[in-house]
Amino acid sequence: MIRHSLFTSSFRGLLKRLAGIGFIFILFLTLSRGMNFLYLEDDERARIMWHNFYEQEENIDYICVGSSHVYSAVNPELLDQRTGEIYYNMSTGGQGLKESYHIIKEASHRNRLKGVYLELYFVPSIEGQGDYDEFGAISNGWKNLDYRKFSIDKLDYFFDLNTPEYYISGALPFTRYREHLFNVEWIYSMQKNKKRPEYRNYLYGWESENARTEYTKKGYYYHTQEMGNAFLHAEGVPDDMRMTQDAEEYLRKILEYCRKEGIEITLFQAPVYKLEIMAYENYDDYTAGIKAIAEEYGVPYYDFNLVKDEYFPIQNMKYFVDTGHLNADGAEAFTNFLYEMTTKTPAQNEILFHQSLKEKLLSEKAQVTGIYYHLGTAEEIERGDLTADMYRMTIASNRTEELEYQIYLTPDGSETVMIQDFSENKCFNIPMEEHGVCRIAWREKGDMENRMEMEVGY
Amino acid sequence: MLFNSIDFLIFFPVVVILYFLIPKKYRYVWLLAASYYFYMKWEVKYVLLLLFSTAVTYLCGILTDKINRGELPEEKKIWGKKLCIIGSLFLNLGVLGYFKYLNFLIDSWNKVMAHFQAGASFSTMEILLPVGISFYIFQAIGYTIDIYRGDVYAERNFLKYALFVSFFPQLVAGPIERSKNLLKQLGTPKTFSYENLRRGLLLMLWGYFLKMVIADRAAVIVDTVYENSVFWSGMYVIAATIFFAIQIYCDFSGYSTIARGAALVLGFELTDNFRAPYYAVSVKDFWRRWHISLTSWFRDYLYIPLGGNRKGELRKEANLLLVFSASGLWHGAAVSYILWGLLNGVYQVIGDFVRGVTDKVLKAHIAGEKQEVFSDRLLKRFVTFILIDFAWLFFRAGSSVKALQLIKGIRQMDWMILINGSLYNLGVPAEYFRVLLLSIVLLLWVDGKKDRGVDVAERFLAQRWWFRVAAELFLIFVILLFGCYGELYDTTQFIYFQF
Repeated sequence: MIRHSLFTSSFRGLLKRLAGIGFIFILFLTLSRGMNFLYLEDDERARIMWHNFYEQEENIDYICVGSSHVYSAVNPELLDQRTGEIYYNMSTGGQGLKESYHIIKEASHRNRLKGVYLELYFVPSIEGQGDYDEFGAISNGWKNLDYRKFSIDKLDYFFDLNTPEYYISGALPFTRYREHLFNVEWIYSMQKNKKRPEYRNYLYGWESENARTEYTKKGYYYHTQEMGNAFLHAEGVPDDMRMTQDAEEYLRKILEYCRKEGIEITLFQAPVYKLEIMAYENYDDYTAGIKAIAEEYGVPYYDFNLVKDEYFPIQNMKYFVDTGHLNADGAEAFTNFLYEMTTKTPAQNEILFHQSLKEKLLSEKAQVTGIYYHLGTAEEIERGDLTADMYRMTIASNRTEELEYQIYLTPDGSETVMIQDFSENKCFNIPMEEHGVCRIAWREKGDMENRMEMEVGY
Repeated sequence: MLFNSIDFLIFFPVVVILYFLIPKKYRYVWLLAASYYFYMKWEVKYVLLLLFSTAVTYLCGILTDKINRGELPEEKKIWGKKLCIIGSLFLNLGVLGYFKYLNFLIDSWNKVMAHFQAGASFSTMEILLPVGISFYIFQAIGYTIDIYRGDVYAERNFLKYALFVSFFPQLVAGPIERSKNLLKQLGTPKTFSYENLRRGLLLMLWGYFLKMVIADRAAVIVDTVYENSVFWSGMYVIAATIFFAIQIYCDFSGYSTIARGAALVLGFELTDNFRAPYYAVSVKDFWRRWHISLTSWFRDYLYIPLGGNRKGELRKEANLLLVFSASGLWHGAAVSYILWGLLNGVYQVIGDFVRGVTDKVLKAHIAGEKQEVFSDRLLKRFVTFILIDFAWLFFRAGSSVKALQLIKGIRQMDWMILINGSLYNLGVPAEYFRVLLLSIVLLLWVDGKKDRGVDVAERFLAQRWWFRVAAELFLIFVILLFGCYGELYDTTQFIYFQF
């Protein structure tokens, strides 16, 4: 009897204490949510993508994962109509392969996935963003952490994504915005945004005078405007374009996971305007590495930047919103082309592609695509090629030696000046603050009669 | 492993949970394994030094104890014991000397040789100072001296003794525990106590607040000025030195408080290393409140054996200067640390002299005892703080040349910077600066209570649950929002780790 009453009293005490701890924990979570509401700047697309994903749970057959190039390129509704299957686009801005791996796992655990389309845009997988222990890659991954439902998979992603020094920032999003703690304007703008009916109803889009942009329910983000200028800021282009060890590790993890789960996987590169891949001069090194891995695992790999124009003439500014992203017309064309490819075998599709960028460029007639530019590197500044307040402009042409270029600049409010008569040189410098129009004329060496021209705003 | 790292926040709960799940008689083994793991997270190979020091002092302890209890003639007993203690001191101080002072000695020798234009110089060696070496070696030496004196018996169980030397909460930055306190506690199996848990966690929370919110933020101001001492002068140096006084106190007492809290959760009471030091009314009083475990170590194992105050005034003052110089040297192998220690010794010698004179004058002119009032204490505290803070300048400067350069700079005074917002240019934005000042006010309030003998933790835990929950959550959010951690900050290590 005595033992019983002691047990009861200590059990009650224990319950009381556990309830107290639980209460503090809940209070802490509630306060944290309140702080998130006050300070967190949402990634709208990721927020809506995850919300809609959970709404369509258990119904999804195929997913597309990858960077912003994919959410601008693949329209799942179109694929649904044409295939009768359910597609969902789970791509997010700058998505690295570690993020893709965990997204595929989450999608697979909540659906009976039949297939995955994995995009392998090079920037998140090469030197820089491809080092997954660096802050850039970790913070980019937070958007795919913040909006996921709590699960063991989410915990797994949390510990895989964050190195220990980022555990607090990863777990408590408001702590990332501590510098705004006393910034009333920041809080006001966050509140203003979060009180909008569109925000509450998971809608994202806007309409301007002659264009519309909208994030749809299936993770597709479209723009109706067209790219007007072939001008690209290509900063920090590395010489080494091979996949980093981290990226390769996660690509292999994805391939092994899909093999284990019986999920059909297709690797691909969404098309970008070719000016972008021309700026990354060793692009072929990157694709060669992926091809080798794809062959090792026996999975198809399609690089739509190398597609032959006669089969799919996507390299036209009318299909792009900027140098990296397709617009709605481009996405429609691309999605239809992707569908056509899915009806054929990889061997049948092989004929559609060039083997390398070099081969593709040489197969085209000699021409200029646009201009890309970057800040001077330390070596360039040291050599005296340019100063720190100048941009280094490079003419993107598909020939290294056969062409010569004449360059005219018309700075805003100034007269036109010819800065270079016909010569092989492709590079010139422009002060950072200067804006205007650059006219480039080019001709084959020695051909005094035929010349072509293009204008680029800078 | 740092206390303010995520590693520790994972390590500690795992250690605690398993500690109370393991059968009582094996718990100390688990704690020993955890302590060695904790130490190895810094540098695996240096665990050998910890093991070496443990083994040497363990064997010396056993031998000394045997001699103490044996039936040898008294003379032989004394010689045997002396041999043991000298062996222990030689080996332990030898290790400490090699890792901490060898390069200092070589460097000093080379400077002397260069001064006399003699050619015999040596090149310094690449030696990395093992973290916490001064702490655990002093603790181990203290144990052997206690046995030598017959104050305690030697611990026979090597693992228990190894745990005494390496107990992770106090391994790398103290408090330097006495065997009478900690070894005795480690010998008794502990049962889980909810009271210890909540009190321990509260102490840890307060420790994190001191370290992450006050010390690391004040460090930004101090580093800005001290790392560019040519650029900043006058009031900036004074302000930075005041902030350094706050930084070093919160840094070290923050560590000690977390250590005490962590130990308490496991059921062990560690010595309180600080008792509101900036409420001291004299330099002597300050040293009774600052780093108490080290000060008492020097008192018991150096000052008293040197004769203490039993051999006349002159000898007493000489002992004082010697002990404080040694204390300076313990903190770091540089002339500036010795100067810092010496300066604190000189303050006390002058204090003794002045007190002697004033006592005589008072006796001659004032009949009866004059009651000390608040304004007296305030003035004394103010003067003491200025003296202590001036000494901190040598400590932080790192070299005597830099210290003198900073002192020269102080002559150019611009009082306006205290009110015109110029202090916000020292790396801490205005809002965070105000939070820092408010946090310091909170610290002074708590220390004020402590100075009057109030157990603040006890008082806090006696409050209603809603108040406790609100205050604890508030403190957690203050740490999360104003603490220095993560990608925006280069989290400074605890200053006392380098000693």
